[in-house]
Amino acid sequence: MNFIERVNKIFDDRFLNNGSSYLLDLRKRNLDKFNKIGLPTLKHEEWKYTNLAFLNDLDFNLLPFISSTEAVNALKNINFLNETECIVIPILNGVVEKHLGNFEDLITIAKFQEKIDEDGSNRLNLFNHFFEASNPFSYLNLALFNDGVYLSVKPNVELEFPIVLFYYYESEYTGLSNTLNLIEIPENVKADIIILFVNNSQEKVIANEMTNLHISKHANVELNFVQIDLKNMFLINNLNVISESESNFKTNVFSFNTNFVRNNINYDFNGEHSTTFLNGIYFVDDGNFVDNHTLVMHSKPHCMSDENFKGILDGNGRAVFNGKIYVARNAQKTNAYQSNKNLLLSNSARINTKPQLEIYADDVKCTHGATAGFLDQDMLFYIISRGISKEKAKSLLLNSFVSENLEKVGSNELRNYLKELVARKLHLEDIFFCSSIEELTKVSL
Amino acid sequence: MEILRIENLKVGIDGKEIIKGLNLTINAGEVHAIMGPNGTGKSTLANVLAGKPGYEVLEGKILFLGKDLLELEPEERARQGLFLAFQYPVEIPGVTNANFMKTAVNEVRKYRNLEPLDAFDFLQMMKERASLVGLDVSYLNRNVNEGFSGGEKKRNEIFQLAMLEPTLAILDETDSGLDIDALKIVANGVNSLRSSDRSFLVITHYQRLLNYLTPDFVHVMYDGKIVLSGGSELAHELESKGYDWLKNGNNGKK
Repeated sequence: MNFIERVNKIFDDRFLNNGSSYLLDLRKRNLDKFNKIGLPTLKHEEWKYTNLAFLNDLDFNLLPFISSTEAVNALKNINFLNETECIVIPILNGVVEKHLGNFEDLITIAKFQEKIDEDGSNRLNLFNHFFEASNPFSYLNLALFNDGVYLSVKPNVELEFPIVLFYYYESEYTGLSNTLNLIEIPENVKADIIILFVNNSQEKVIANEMTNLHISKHANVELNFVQIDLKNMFLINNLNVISESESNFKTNVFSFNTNFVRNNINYDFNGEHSTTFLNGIYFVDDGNFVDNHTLVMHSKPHCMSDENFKGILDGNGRAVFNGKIYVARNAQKTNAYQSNKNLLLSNSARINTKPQLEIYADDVKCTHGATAGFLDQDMLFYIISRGISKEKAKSLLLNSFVSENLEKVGSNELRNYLKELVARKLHLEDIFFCSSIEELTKVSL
Repeated sequence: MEILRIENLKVGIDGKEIIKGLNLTINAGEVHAIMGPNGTGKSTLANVLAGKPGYEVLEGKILFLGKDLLELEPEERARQGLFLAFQYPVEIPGVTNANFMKTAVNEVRKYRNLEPLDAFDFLQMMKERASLVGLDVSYLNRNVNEGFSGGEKKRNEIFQLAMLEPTLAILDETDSGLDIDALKIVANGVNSLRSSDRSFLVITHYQRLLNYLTPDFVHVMYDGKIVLSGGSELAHELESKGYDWLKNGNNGKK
């Protein structure tokens, strides 16, 4: 059996006689679309550098249900979550665990499928234009999703603590997960969301997760993705965002030491005078692969988007960046910026980077730039000439390269966690942490 | 005691000979100035001494504290007490001056089998040395040279010199791009670091730095060689006569 055949078998076995007629209809429609396109090959423009052929060789089923004990232990190891007050919503092998309900009447957390049964299809329809042929995995997700989070916040509330969607995977066989989340942020809300992936599986996990986010007028949302040490995992992470006028959105995507990650990040301005920032850092080494595919649709005038992805590639690590900016005919006074910079540390590392601008308006400012290069030899020599070893000098420069994007994380705890992680990866702990110098200088200033 | 001895040094870049047989000896505690027009190989000499890649030593030898300098990696030269104040200091975003200096000082100390300095002592040392060149302590928490003015960058070089306490400090055009106030601050900083066990090699195009920093010896470099050597009065003579004086056939004679 190939991938498509297995997907269809899972559908027949697990979903054909389950759920409401509305859900079944939604699943069937999307499965048909997925079947029609099939698993993308390298001939598929949006998948040109991302080989999925290995999926045909995997024998998989839906992931098993698991208890939360292991997940709770895994959570304890993520220190920024212990240091900060936050609401954690565990999603265990794709199933949303506990924590459902209202929090101080500020936040509503429910199961997505219950929400969709209540209110019909309206809520998802908004995102329909993102579910399209260039990404058949969105169809797959809608056909096979087993669970998902519905999240909303009371209007006019500024949340002081982050909401964490904690994806945890653990399986003794090769398994598939499709989670479908819907997050609705009402007017004047300020919210900080962290989506964290942890894989503790001995066997391979194929995770095709999707989050649809609607941001209302005057709302501010920051969404951070943390994808760290994802071995044995094929993660297809889909984010679709629609924002109304005068809203602000920022996402930071961190991918370190990941076997296979494809981020599909789609953003649409549905109102004027809004801003969005899409940032990312990826570190790939031997056996690692990261593909960031972004789409920013300037459908309305007077909006600003700024995109900045940085990558460090070592060993035989590979990465892909594809950033598309679309400016509609009426989207005058658009400002759109895009940058993708890469540092290559070995001769066998590879980056395929492609900016795509499709501009139909005539009064816009759009810039884009992509670079792939090696460490600056003058900078390296400057550091070495102070008695610092070549290895350490290199690490300092790599740290310096990514620090710009690390500083963009809003939450202090998450930012420090990521900084420390980078420092550890570069063997610079003794410089940036355990150092009371910084503390002392701060105190004495 | 002899700190540096350069014998018949010839250096090329991309097959072109830049330094064409240079001799120079510096003893402990001495301040030597090398002057000369642009393009005569002054900065090449500084870079070769510090070990910058890209230069080819064609002939000659360099002894630093009696050892073959050219056999040492640049970081080893620094650890053994050689320091270069850069003409164009580099910006390093994401690394604070404090962390940069802590790393460098402790690597040097490790090499000399000394314990790392504790945080409190280190901070005291940084504050004291920063004040030598009039750098506010707030600079210590700023990223290395990032957003610094030309003058601040040069002062930061002298601050680093003060922190690393070298045996031989090479100042490559440290005066370039400085206004008169900044020049005085830098020169005073250097003067306060002069001692009987520290030598300086000051490379400059103009004489004005030497007004504040009286050298023991002045050498004039022209077309890859030292063509004239003398005391500090030579700098004044050059200033009044100009470098054309050299080009008009006075090579080697005073």
